[in-house]
Amino acid sequence: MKRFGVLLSVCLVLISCSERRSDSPSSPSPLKEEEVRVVSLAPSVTETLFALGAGETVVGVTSSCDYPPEALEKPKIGDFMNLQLEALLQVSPTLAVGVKGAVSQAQRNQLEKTGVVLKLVEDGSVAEVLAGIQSMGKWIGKEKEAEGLVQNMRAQLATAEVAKPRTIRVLLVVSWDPLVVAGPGSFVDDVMAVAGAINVAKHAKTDYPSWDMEAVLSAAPDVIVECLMGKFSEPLSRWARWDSIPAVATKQVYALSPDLLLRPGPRVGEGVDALRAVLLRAESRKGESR
Amino acid sequence: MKVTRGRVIGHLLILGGLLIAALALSLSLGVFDLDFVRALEGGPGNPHRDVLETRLVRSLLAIFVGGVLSLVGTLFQAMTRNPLADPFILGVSGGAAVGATLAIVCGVSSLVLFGIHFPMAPPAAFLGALLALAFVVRLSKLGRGLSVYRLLLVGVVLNFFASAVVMLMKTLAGAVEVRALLLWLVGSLGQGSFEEIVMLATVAIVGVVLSTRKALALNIISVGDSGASLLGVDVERLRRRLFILSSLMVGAAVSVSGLIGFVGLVVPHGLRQIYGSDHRLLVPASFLGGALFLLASDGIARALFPVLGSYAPVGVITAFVGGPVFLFLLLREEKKRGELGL
Repeated sequence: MKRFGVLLSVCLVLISCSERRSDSPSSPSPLKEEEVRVVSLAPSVTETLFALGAGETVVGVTSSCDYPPEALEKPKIGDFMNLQLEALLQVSPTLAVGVKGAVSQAQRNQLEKTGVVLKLVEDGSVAEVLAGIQSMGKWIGKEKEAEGLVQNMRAQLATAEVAKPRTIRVLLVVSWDPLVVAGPGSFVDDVMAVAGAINVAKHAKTDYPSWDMEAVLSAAPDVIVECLMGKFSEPLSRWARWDSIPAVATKQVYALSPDLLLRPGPRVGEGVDALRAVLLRAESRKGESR
Repeated sequence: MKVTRGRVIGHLLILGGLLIAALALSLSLGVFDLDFVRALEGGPGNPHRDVLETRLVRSLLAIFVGGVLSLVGTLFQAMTRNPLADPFILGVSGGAAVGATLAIVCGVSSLVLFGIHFPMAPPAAFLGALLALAFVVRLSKLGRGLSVYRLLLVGVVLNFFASAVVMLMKTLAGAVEVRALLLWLVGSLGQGSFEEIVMLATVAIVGVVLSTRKALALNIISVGDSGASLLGVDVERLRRRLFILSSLMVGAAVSVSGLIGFVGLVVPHGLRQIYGSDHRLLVPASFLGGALFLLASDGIARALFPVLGSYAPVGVITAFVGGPVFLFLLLREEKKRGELGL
């Protein structure tokens, strides 16, 4: 049975290769817009494709792609880290767009054999997200839309730059138990920097270090921001036990959406805004108490 | 070695003294520059007090989890007459983890009765441990008596099964629960609460007292079932009771700390080298020794924090120590059996 499956997939690969070879001399031109069939290999890519108005060209998404709601109706081609080649071939894409760190060499080789063009964007910082949007615009023939979206996001970030809090020390929590926080080099660390936060974990040695409460107590953050996935009780009630943490004592413990802050997509401007609003509130409070 | 009451008390006092010294060391170890005098001052918003409290909770958790796991290891080794038996290796901890995670994923993590929240993870873990243990014992007894290798193999299978169930829940549950679920697979002493410590301490005290009272019977059982029956020990009944007691202890420990392996293997063996195999001393000593071992392992994990910049789960440390010990014992057992022509 297994051998049969291997044989079958080899045949399929051969067929798809031969087809491509046969029609490549006749049409060496870049893909026409209506012919583009894109699979997205990451939630942030899906969001960008939809934001560029290319929702109809998307023929497959990962099971983690939950925004915009229309994305939920698209065929699934596996999950973020574990894509299913068969499901991907089923939707006969011409282009696969993924995120650099999340596509392994083995997956690249697999995709290469099938003849699907694979394009990757970087997503390590806010600037890279903007550049990625522009690249994606080029790949799917939506340069103008991409330029517009990037302009809007730049404007949003520029507003953030004007009234920037500068003295607030923030701990950003991405997992409660075990306690994992945002360290240097993580995407959200850059979001924090753009929003004007000072990351108390900036001297950590990894991008998402695992901490215990003592490390939090010695870091003494002014604000704690939780970006947790799943359902959690009201954050302040969970932190109340450690009331010597300045953030807890002054009730500056907030829960913000992980989709806005942790996902390197077109809504990152909203994430920066949400974080900045929290920081400004904390800063005005700090000013009052002085 | 003759074990008198005085000797038992003497040895236990020494172990207890060592444990208190280790506790004091553990309380003074950490990244925060703790001032004990200021920590004891009252009042809200005192970081020194909060740090001391955090270290105390963590250390007490290490003491009770380590003690209970080691005690259960001793009981398993006596009852199965298998020197390699340990709640982790036999898959009993795995069963407890499956029980606890099932309760959490199914959303029944607490039950409200008369306005009080009862956490459901410990009883679910207890049930999981009990089922796993019943399964291991039943399967390894098929045919003839408890066979050493059969017991280990059934444990291996059960462990694979347990991690498969946890992984399945990982694919079905949401993303953050995922991290929490993975934590079950490598134990950690992260964030305990005082309530959990009270629960664990109660179970631990009941466990130590009841099993110390059965120590003489355990001595007889470890010689052989038939001999024990001749001497008037109801072997099946004793085994059943101690298995239930062990499941209760494993369930309590695992529901708080996840899967911390090899404590029940390393500690009883070390202690047997020092004290011999009289369970009147070995049973209470293995609780204290296990407490000491896990407290030290956690101390290593915490001392590594400035180097790694991140906390290594304590289960990783115990596995680093326990793996080689397990192999050593396995080889020695083989050799012994070879010499006896078994």
